[in-house]
Amino acid sequence: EPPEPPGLAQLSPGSPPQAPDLLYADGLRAYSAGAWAPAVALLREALRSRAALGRARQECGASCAAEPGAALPSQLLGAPHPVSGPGVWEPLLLRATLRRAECLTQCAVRRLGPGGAARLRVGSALRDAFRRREPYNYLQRAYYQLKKLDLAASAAHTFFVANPTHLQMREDMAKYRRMSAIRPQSFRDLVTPLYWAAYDTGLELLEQREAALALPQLEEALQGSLAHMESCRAACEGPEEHQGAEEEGEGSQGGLYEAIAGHWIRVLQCRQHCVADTATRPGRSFPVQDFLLSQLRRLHEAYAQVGNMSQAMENVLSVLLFYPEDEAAKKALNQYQTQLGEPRPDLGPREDIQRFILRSLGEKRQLYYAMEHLGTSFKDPDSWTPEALIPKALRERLREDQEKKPWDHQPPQQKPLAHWKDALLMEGVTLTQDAQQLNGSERAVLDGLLTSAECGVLLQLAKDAAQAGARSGYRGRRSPHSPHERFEGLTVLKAAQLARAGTVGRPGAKLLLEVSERVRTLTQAYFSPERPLHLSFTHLVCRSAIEGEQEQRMDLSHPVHADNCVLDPDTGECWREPPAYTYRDYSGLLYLNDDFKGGDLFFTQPNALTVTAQVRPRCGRLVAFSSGGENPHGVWAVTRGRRCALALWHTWAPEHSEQEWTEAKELLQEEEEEEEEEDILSRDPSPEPPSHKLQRVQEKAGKPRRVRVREEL
Amino acid sequence: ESEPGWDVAAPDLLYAEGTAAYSRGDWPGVVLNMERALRSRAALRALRLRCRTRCATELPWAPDLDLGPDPSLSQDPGAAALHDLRFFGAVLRRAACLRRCLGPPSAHLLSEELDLEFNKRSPYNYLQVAYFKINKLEKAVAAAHTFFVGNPEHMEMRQNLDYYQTMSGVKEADFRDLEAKPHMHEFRLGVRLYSEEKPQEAVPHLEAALQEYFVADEECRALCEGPYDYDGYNYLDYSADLFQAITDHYVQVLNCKQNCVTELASHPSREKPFEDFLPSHYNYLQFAYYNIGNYTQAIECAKTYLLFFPNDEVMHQNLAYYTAMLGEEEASSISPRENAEEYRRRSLLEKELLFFAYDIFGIPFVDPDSWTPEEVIPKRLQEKQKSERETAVRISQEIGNLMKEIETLVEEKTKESLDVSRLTREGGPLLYEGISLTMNSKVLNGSQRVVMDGVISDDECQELQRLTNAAATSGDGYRGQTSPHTPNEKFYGVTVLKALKLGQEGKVPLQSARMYYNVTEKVRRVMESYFRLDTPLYFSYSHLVCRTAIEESQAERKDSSHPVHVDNCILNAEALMCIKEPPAYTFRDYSAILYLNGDFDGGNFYFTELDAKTVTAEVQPQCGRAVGFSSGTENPHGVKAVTRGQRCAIALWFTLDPRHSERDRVQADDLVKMLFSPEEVDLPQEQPLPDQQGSPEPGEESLSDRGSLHKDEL
Repeated sequence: EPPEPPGLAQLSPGSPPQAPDLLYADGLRAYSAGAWAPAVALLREALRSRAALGRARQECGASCAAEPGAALPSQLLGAPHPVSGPGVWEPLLLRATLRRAECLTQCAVRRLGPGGAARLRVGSALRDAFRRREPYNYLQRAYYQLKKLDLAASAAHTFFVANPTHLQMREDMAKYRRMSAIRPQSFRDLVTPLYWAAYDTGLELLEQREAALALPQLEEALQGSLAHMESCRAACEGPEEHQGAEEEGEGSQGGLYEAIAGHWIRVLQCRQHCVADTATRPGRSFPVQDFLLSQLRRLHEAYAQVGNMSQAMENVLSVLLFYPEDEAAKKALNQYQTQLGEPRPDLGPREDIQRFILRSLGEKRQLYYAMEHLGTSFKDPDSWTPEALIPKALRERLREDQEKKPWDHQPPQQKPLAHWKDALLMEGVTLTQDAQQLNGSERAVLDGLLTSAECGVLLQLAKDAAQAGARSGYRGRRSPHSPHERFEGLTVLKAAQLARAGTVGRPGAKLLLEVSERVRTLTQAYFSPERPLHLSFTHLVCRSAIEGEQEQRMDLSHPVHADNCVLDPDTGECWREPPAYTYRDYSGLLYLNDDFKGGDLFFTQPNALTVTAQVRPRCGRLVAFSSGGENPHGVWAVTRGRRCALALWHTWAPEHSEQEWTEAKELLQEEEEEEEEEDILSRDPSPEPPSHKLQRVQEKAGKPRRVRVREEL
Repeated sequence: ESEPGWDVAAPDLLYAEGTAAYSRGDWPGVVLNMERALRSRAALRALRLRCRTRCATELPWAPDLDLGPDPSLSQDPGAAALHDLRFFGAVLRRAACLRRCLGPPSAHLLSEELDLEFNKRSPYNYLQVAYFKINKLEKAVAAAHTFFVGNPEHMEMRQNLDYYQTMSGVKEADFRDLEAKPHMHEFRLGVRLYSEEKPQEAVPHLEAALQEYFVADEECRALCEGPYDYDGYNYLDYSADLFQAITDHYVQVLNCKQNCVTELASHPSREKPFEDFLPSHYNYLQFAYYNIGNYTQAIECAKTYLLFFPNDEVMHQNLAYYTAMLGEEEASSISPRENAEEYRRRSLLEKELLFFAYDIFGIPFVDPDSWTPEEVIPKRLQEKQKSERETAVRISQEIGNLMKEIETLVEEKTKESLDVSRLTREGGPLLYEGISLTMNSKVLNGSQRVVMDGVISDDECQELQRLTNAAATSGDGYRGQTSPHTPNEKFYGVTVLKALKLGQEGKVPLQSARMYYNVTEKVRRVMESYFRLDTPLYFSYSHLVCRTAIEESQAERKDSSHPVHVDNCILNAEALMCIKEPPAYTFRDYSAILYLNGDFDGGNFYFTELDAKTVTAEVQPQCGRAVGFSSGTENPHGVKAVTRGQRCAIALWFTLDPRHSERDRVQADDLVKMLFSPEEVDLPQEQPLPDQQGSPEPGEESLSDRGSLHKDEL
């Protein structure tokens, strides 16, 4: 842990924590008075006190539930028909409840001091502030004033991870990254549970084929996930989780048993939601789908790779606990059994997973019972729940509810790999200029998206495509925007078709698809982390200066415009209506080369005259910006050489996503499958005549798709 | 699946219709709706009773909520969670049964106010008028009598009843209580016949009273299982964990069930309930049976009475007599009545749980029964109860004592919470290094008081003293005149703005003036923080003051440097009052004095009571020491005479009302900005906090420099 800043009060080891709300208020008061050291001490103490409440609640809940005296009556558990007849169990209910409440109260007092948990409880407004990590917003500035730059960077990073759309903090983060005095390891998240780091590291090692090194990380990730879930479940018995529900008012009208049932159902609903809570990254709104399952799948595959078949068996059996009919898991199980040789009856699913499922199913059964008989609501967060568990009367209703849901209300299927690098930048990618440096908003320049080799491949692709056009009698037509430049453009579908025809190399076409997805992911992570972006149009464009026509030219390569509205320079307004591409939300330009003259991108004021920023192209550089009236932009003339760039537009509207991209991908995949078929055929003793292959190619060529050139940069 | 026939209109709607009909003089409408409202409410209560009784007899476990094979009862935390699931499954099943039987909750909702109206028998007040208007005298009399039985203080109804008695055609039998409880009716009738020495006729009524009592008891107890009563809580503020919430609700229900004893023993005509109501049935019966020669029943009732009071000597003698009369062998085979035995066992079980909750959680429980054995009460409570029982034989006295004890506990708790809140309010952080807390309110024998040391350093103290003397010398025509409060001291003073202006003119060091400004700002922040003020303090007045003893005037002096006063009200020491009105500075909220030196005699600061004589605390000045306190009635204070040397201090008054902030301060702020430009911040960014309020408006009661010198100095 970094050294404590000056002014922090040294608490004796056993002293009880102070009330977090008082500490926080004192901290804010000190902060506003400019007393930085006391502000740091108080805010940190508030965070520590808040954590102590959560820990005490979890530990007290576990110990009291396991204590024989406070256990709910067990003598009747084995007697389904009590001998004493009706009415006997009500006093037992109250006696057990009193014992449990006594145990919890006394345990909390021992751990938290007089007043127990009640003294450390905070209101909903302050609870939300802690959830948003507001204290770290203040801490980073206080540390900065104290010249503790490494601590300031850690606090800033911690706040930013949970608030990735906070523009001011994003700017500050960029500044901290540029300070040479700050060590790179200072950019760490002080709050995010450690299992996320272990999970990301494990996945990274798996990608690098380092299964032996990945296994400890994946095991730690699984243990951490389960531990976090226990902590979340313990908090469900607190009143904070109920306040929202209580406001409905219906619960308070029921009688004694209806009220107790209502309390218990709310606890169960909260506990079931802990699965989603554990699987949601900080700063995200949606969980990783089947988080535990994906960990178990990777574990059994990794154990198989290192030859530990016993562990592989345990983990694949755990996967089958969730999905007994999972084909891949069944196949793997047979494979592991074969490799093990003799039968191993002692091998079974992981005990922690068994316990998890048994308890979860018990809770779901009660929640569905209450849904059927008590009118409560329950939205099962798990997709692995057996359908037999749901009462028949509810199955039809639930099916209807699911069918009613529109597509865009469902959480998107996020790829974990896309978000595992601090939720901002991919490895090797650096933020070169932010919106402030570009004198505007929603603008960024990022470098390092492409290597020199990748640029070369794409440049070769553009060149080959242009030559293909020449061979078929097509000559690079003049740019529609300027008579002084020659224009060549290639869409992803065209590239796939040319690759299939053998005119251009297939690696280039595949790279074109991959890179466009890379840009989309990065743009979404930077500008729109809460809302998925879809590729609307992708275009590989090259502009060449026509020799002898560059003197005296006064025109631009591309005049000033905005991408989703009609710019009116006289009034400074931008009309978002057709013929503008109103559905475009973000734009990107990924440059492939810089061995040309002119051709810079520039931003202007709405008057289209005053230049506010200018970007010099280079291999691997991306200029990303929002497509609206806030970002009028143009391209200076290319006066010598050839300028090549990948132009992309993104949209939030899934109905406007680029269909050609999907078709291109399918086309390239089909070609791969045909190659496999050819390999099989080549081993056949009686190969078919070559004319058959030729016919298939001709069949494909018989349905050409017209490429619509819509817009170029 | 609800109870068949449960489509009765809601009682509240019918009652509202009835009152509306009464307003427009629709007498048949009143009769129709009020009678239907009464019937509807009775049906609702009957439904609740039926549902709760039926559901209580259902078994709590069912296959559909089981978890399959029973897990081993180990210490595994997973097993504990499964126990919880199985346990609460029983509660879910009970709740589902109730919901099935009662229907949706909204169908049988009855507001609290309306329930109170029905309990006060208000519908009968309307009914007696309506029945009279439509010439149904018999029903009118019954309604009037029913209402009067429940409201004996109602004088108008008493007059109505007297009037009805004078009317021809009205019979004595018409004066019926339509809501009389059967058990009470039979009991009173039986006791009357018993008193008239007619045991043969009394016995059937007393036995009927017993039967009706048990029926009424079950009904009362079933109706206890209602919603949680957030008495003293808004339910939004009620915050308890799961098991505490269940405990609170269940204990409230059990308390209600225990109090059924009192409810069933109450009659509208009596101020107090019958004492030992249920056992008294058996007491009457055993003697009545003896009188008619039924020794078997006499023995049974005597033994039943002894269940409740095992040490009753008279009953033991009676039992011995009945045994001798009937024969030893036959008498020994007679047992107490079974329903009484079961009643007692259940009640004791509930009392045990309620006393446990009283002991552990402080949920109060006043036992309504005097027959409770001592061992049921926890030892800690037993000792308290024993001493009370020794001094109060009768149950009403015991209840009275318990109520007083509860009031005492509540008062102590209130006091503790007040103390806690006050302690919590004060005691905020001191913000700056070097400042230490020397005395708090407790040590200073008051509230909202603090003494801090180390607010400024020795160098700063000397610098500020030199500033004062230099400013005094450079004053415009003003030279060390004698103090306006005492002819024995010389007085110098300089405000912040004046110091800055003198610095601007070069007559005092500019850095000293700036230091003076910064020190006042520092004290303000520390005060805000220490007293944990939610709104900022504004400067009402700041003054750097030095008092110098005049050497030849110190012998025989009896006056104070500054007499005892309160800063924001006029102190009337003889009446022990402080009147908060002009010309007092009513807008002042907090005061502070920062001392610059201690090398003088006298000049101590002291707090007093409102009599201005009883000294409660005294503070010795020294460099860097600050005394902070609220400006109100709670803090009368004065300054003792300076008998040798020079005493220098910065006196500050603050207000929470920005309208009264000092105009000089605003000008000083502007001057400081002009003279000392703040350096650019290296990392410009938006403030996490919302912006502070804009510049406060100039105070309407601006104080001129010269005038203030003569009004209030320390």
